[in-house]
Amino acid sequence: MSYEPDILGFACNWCGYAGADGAGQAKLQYPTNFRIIRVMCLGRVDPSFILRAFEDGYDGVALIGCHIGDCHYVSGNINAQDVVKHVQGILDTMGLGRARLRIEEVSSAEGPVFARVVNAFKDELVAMGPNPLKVAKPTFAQEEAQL
Amino acid sequence: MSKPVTSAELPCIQCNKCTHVCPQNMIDPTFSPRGYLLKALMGEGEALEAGPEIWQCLTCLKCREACPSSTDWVGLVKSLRQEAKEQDQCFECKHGRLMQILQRMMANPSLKQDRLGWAEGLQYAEQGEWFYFTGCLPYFDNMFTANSHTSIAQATLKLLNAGGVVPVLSNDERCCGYECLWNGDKETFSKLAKLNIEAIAATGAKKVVTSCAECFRTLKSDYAEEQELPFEVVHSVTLIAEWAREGKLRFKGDAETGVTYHDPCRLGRYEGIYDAPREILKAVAGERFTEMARIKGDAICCGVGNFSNCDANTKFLQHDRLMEAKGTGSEVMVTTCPKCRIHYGCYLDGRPIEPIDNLVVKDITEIAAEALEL
Ligand code: SF4
Ligand code: SF4
Ligand code: SF4
Repeated sequence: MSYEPDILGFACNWCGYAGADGAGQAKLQYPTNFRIIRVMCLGRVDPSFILRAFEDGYDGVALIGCHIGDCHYVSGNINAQDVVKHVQGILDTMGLGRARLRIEEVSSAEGPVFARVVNAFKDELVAMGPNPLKVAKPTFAQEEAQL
Repeated sequence: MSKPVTSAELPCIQCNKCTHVCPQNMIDPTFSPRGYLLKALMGEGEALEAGPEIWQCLTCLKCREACPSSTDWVGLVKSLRQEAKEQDQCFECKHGRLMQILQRMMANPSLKQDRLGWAEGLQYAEQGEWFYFTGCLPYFDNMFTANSHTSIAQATLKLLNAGGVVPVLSNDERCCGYECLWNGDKETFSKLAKLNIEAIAATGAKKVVTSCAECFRTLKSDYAEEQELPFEVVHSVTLIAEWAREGKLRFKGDAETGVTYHDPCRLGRYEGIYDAPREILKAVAGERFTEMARIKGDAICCGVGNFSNCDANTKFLQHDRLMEAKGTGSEVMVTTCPKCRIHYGCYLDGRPIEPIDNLVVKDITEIAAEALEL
């Protein structure tokens, strides 16, 4: 089986999440292993959320929010850029590499852009290989045997 | 609580001395270790386990210093936290338990870190007698941005090099596990202890130097409880003071700024090292080193114990201590624990109750390295 990276997305209510909706309505393809957590604003995303995702074995994390200047809370996306920069530094020190975390600007009208950035991220993650902290998920049969 | 506490385990005589010296009580008069001990002895330990008290305690050990019956309240806090952790009743820290997430990630043996970027241009080895345990300093630069933290590592390495020691630095070193240990996650702590002891032993090192009071305490005493250590652990201040006495290191001794010294709880009350840092400061700053009123065993805490508490009380405590430092006429408050500096730095950089001008918090290795006569 080919390797499918698990990606966690934090998308803001106003732009990123609406962009994902747009991509869905236009029936654009993007990876099924991309899971989205909707937040009101990317300013809500704390470094601990991102690192917890990597601890849990996600191969990549993407923050998807409004274009700079369009944040509904003025500067949440600017703060998020700062958070991303620092967490990328932590990921480098950890040896996981900064490329596993990115921040993207997608407006509510940009469904195709959403699909494009997620697909591009997935391709890069495939090239990087899995997160070394990933714990092999038990198969259905193994889970059943445990019960 | 699984078993009731007996008065043989906690021989408290309810004299209330602990509460009088407790820094948490100084700010919040309802916080009373004596009262909580009474609860535990009356069989109401369960209420304690669920409440905020055990997380508010700074584990600073001031109470133990004052106690005439050597009652181990902090030990009780530690074990109650462990039980609370098992039932997932931990308190949220201000950083979403970031330290503990990092520690759990580092406890994974598959992790291959890339943590030596800060040491570029300095001398270090891969094998040898000495090991410099850097701790999480390379991570802190991206976590607590009020100060640089790898500057402490660089200063320590410079001092070691100047004393003729080229220590081992290793990418396989992991966090010492201090926060996990003190917040009830013994499992992760034990994993980290095992991995670190193995990594150090693999380099052939017999002496481990730390520049962090918490790493020092954890390696020296808490690791030793896990298993017998194949090496000796020293804090950098002990070495620097010794080398200064022997004349191996010489300092300019003409500091332009006044300095004062804050005793971190882990180096002071826990490990009893009070004189070495003062010797260094006298060599570095001479007459310009002045003491605060509350020193050594009587020093107050930086306001945050193990990232398990940080609230308004913390800020009042920090203000109190920093004003005390300012009151000595010093411009620099020196400490030997990077975490003390993180918390004080956060206060000065954030929203202090009243602005405190012309005061910075520095690590002892930084000011010693600056004053080094080469
Ligand atoms: S350890 Fe410190 S904060 Fe906790 S009860 Fe004792 S004196 Fe108070
Ligand atoms: S100082 Fe010791 S004996 Fe006195 S109340 Fe506190 S714990 Fe009990
Ligand atoms: S004082 Fe310490 S625990 Fe509190 S917010 Fe600042 S760095 Fe965090």
